[in-house]
Amino acid sequence: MRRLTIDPRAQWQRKVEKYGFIFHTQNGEPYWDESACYQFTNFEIDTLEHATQTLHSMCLELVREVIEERMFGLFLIPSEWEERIVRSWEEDDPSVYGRFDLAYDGVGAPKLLEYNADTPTALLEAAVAQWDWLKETDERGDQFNSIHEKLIDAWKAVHARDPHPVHFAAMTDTDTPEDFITAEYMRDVATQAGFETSFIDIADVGWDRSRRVFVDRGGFPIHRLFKLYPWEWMIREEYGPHALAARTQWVEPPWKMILSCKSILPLLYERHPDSPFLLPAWFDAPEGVDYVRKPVHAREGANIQVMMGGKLVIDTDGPYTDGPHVYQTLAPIKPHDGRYPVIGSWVVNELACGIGIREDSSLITRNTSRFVPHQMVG
Amino acid sequence: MTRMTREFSLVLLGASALTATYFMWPEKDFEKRVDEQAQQRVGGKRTAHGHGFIWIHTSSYSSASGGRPAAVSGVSRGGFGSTGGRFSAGG
Repeated sequence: MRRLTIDPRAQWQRKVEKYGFIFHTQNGEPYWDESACYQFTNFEIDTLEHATQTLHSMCLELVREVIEERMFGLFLIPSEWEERIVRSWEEDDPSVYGRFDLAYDGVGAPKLLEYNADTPTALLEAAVAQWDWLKETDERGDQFNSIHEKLIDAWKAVHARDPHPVHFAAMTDTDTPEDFITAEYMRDVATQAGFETSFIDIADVGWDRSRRVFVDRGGFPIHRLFKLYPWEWMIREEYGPHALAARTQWVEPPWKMILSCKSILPLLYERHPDSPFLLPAWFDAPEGVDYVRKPVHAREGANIQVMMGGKLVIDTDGPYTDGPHVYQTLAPIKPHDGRYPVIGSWVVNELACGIGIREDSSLITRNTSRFVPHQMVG
Repeated sequence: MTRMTREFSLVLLGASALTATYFMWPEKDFEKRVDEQAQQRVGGKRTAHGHGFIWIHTSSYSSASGGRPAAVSGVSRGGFGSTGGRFSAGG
């Protein structure tokens, strides 16, 4: 694994905008950064693929245990939602995607930092933008990336079970269009899989009191909703009780509430202490080790504390100030040219199928961290 | 080993006439236009309901919630979407 400094393509902004990637620059700084790329050997990619598939299996095993043992309290899941989650799991409600964030240096085993199981983004970048970059810069080049095809396969599998139309929801009144474009990309692949689709702002989702169904802007029932909006927010908002009562099908499904909570980190470690892919993690602050404190529900590197040598060395701000935390041994991330890469490893339709890399000058990956493409070399 | 072996295609985001920013808008002309383009690419049926998109030829982004939903008797709205503020809900 190595980082190369390269020349960006001329007019790269226009090239990536061709397929809707209009949030390539944020606050005047490139978010998509093709002035560098990472190279991986086949062995390294095999290692990442194996680690990802193993972690995915561990996570499903944990969900099964949580449901059988009714351990919902560890995940801040309200008691009224427990049976809905059980039903979602027992009925095998389909999951389309998830992204494991891994620390990896090309030498040791990849280490799980966290799992974005419910609302992972950086999807268009990983599935389309970096592939387009590769094909233009090295037509015969290769990449660990079949994300796009696997997404279509995933939606085809959903379609085979239930071909009713799907609505796609995200917030649109946001500082960047990232969520909206990501949801639109997901709508794109679902359309290719054969679904009739439409987009709706999450705030425009309606509740029909008499029919007790969610409806779209025209009053049509929402049969299945892909939501780029976290479960832990939804269930605590005004329509949370309606979501519990409605017959709507959800992507991601309710059982993903378990895996989208960072309580899985200490629980996975307790169950697999010898796994090379897990960092030691706990529900209480450890002594004598450098560690990272993470809110159990947080995103984009918010409200993270890093303790080294008993001293607080990083303390990020953010809105997640109330909930409990987990504590994870500080990962040994090796800087490349002064930047710390984190591998976002995608699981789509149950398969590890590609990676995207984000790097930052800090140990914490935030919403400003840059996306850098990659390629495989022999 | 999993590698990409096929060329990708996009039916919505990749449409050549649609190269900048979407805006939600309850106008059938635009709905029809986008759906027709998608149909040409996938050979599928036209989306049966919902509202379409206006594709604005600009690289700047604005809210996609331009049009408000039609008022429907017995339907309330706004019960989701209050938590995140203007921050991304993705991670």
